[in-house]
Amino acid sequence: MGINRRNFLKIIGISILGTGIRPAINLFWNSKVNASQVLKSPKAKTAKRWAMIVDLRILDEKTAKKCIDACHITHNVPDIPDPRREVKWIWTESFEHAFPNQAHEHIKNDLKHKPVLVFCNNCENPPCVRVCPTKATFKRDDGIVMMDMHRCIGCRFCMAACPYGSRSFNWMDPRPFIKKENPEYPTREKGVVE
Amino acid sequence: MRNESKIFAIVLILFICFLSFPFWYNLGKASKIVKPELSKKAKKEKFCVEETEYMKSYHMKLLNEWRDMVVRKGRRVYIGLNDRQYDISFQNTCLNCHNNKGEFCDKCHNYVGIKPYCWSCHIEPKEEN
Repeated sequence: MGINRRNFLKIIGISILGTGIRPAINLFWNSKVNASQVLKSPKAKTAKRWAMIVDLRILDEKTAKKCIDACHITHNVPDIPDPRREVKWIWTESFEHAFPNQAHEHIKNDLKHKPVLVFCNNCENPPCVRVCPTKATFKRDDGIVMMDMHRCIGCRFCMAACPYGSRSFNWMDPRPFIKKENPEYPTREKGVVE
Repeated sequence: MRNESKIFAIVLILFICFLSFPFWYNLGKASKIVKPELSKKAKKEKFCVEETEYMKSYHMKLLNEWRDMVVRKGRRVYIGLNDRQYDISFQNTCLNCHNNKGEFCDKCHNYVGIKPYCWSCHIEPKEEN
């Protein structure tokens, strides 16, 4: 008598498993990248917690414009005129809007009309990080609140969560609105928050 | 009864012909296997960050891990083949040598029919050739 049904199925099952094992092993074992092969750049500066300071005493309209341009040109931020669609990383605000708690009637006149440069606050307890469902927005150990654009699904929860309006959504392809692309930095695409 | 089996046989043959149609229709029409062309700059370098065979099969995996290392862990230096150190950067390291997207990337990707979304954000290099 030949083999019975039960043994036949067993052999078939094992052979199918056998053919699948090699590719599976290749996939997981052949990966050459491991932690020992990547280093932190020796040139990288380190800090316990990074901060960026804007000296309002010497800031004027012209300098603010220069700062905005430098940041936006380097990072390929599109210049979209429609304020409902605009994308901004750093921009100017009036004093009373930037510091509502410190603004009052008797505020110094020069402060009153001074532009204040505002940008992401890199909050200690960032609400955008807490609401992000994919952890696209995350907080680095050195305090920088970073954005992993690869992971963003464009749900805009972070925009709703940010109390400072520091997040922008790409309502359209930003590339036509970038005057001169910086080839050393990527752009973003439609449907991504930055 | 004889008639019925005849009809059955004819229908069966027709059905098999129909099923196998794509095979004999495309016989001898297999598209040529394409090979990516190295740019002048890449040829000058002699070796990539890992061995060619590895890069052929696993470049997408390496790119993914590079991405996570830089963005997530802030590790920006990769020790590659022959202990050479590289800046982990798609645009500034990979595309610096492989500056011929059409001949190097697209050729294969089109052949195997995949559309990686690298280029919706990463700026493609200016073609040299």
